[in-house]
Amino acid sequence: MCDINALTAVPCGDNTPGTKQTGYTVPVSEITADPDYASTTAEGDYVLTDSDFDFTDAASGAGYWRSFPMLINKNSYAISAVGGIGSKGWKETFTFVLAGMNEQQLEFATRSLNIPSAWLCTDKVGKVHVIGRKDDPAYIETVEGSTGDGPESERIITVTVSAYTSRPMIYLGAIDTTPNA
Amino acid sequence: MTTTETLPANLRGKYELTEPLKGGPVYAFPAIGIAKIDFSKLTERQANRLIAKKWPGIRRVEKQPVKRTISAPEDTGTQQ
Repeated sequence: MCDINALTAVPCGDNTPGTKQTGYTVPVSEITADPDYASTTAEGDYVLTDSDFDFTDAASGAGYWRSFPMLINKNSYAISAVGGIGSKGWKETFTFVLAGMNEQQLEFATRSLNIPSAWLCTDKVGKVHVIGRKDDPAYIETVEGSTGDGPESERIITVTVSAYTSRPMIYLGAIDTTPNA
Repeated sequence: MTTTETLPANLRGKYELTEPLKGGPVYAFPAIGIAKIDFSKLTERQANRLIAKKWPGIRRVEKQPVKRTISAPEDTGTQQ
């Protein structure tokens, strides 16, 4: 049976909504191994990692997290339970907004469109949420972009990626942004 | 892998990585507010900042105490 720990209240002032403005993504084909979950049983450890993502076997020039800027206060990581009674899992959703409709943003969205991938989203409390795993990847679910129609509208691309998991993951390791040699 | 040997030579005697990091040497630590850090070019200021932010992957090298011995002056056998 699963051990359920008593739940401690969120520390005072440590519950700021929203995410920080940099996201990270990598095609899962470049991941050699996902991080391990912590094996201890202290409160919260069930979803914490205790090792890094491994990109050892990725090709030269690959095997690293690609960073991308997000429009602040427009991004979120969400989870919802899905499945029938007694068979539930989680659907994780990461929604982010790219400012701009230039060639760079369009290229990023187009190349990410149909590839299985993993994503990292840091919330404002500093928790790095993982969406997608090596063998349980995330895919882009929706993308909508617009130049806007006037001075008070927005020129943005809104992207939603989603994945299913039985256990959320908060990543404590280093985010490797160095391409393999 | 990024290890203590990756650090600049002038820092290796002062700081060490508690365990090797896969890949690197450039990483991001958004959870502690660091967007980019290159361990091959790490400065002392950056190292101290990682420690202040309680990142467990780096620590200061503990200085080993210097052992001192006191011995009697050598007897040269000369008498005046």
